[in-house]
Amino acid sequence: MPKETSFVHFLDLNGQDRRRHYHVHERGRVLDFVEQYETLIEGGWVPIVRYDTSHGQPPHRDLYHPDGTRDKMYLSFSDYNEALTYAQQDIRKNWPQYKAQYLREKEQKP
Amino acid sequence: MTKKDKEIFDKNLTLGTEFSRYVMEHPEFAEQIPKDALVVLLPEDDPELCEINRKNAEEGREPGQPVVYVRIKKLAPMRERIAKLRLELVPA
Repeated sequence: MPKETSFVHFLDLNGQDRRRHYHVHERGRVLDFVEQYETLIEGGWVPIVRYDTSHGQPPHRDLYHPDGTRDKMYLSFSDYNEALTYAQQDIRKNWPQYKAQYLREKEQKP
Repeated sequence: MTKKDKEIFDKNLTLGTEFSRYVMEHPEFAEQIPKDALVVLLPEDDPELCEINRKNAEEGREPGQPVVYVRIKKLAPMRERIAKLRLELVPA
């Protein structure tokens, strides 16, 4: 029977950055997942980048903008285990750039 | 971002992703984690990181949010995933 797990944990020194994780799996096979990096801005948690398989869509990445829009990129993995690994590696490597981009855009917003 | 910031971030990302993997492979642990719990990663061989994560959890816990302490006794070295391979030398 598929099992669901969801949790969040802090990443940084000062409690300003978190990783949010969700998955549904059965016998080691990932059926659904969310990998999200979020940061604390003006007292509220804001998603910066999110990988998920929501609403029956193929695995995809959403890059968030301060104006509420998102850039969506679909992944070509059919195996969700591989897609999840890719998501984790991308966030590990690129979270500083994603965060910096978001903050730059926020500063520029009229 | 300081070198220390990066170090803490990388350590927590590693522990966090390994914890996700562990939970998938050990469903009996998955059942103990309430939905959307705040997981506090406490590696026993890194007292400094334990203190940082514990402090962040105490200060950053949201009202009504369940908290789970994950005491990690040991993180094994990375292992290769290739189970079997064969080399074939191509002649010059």
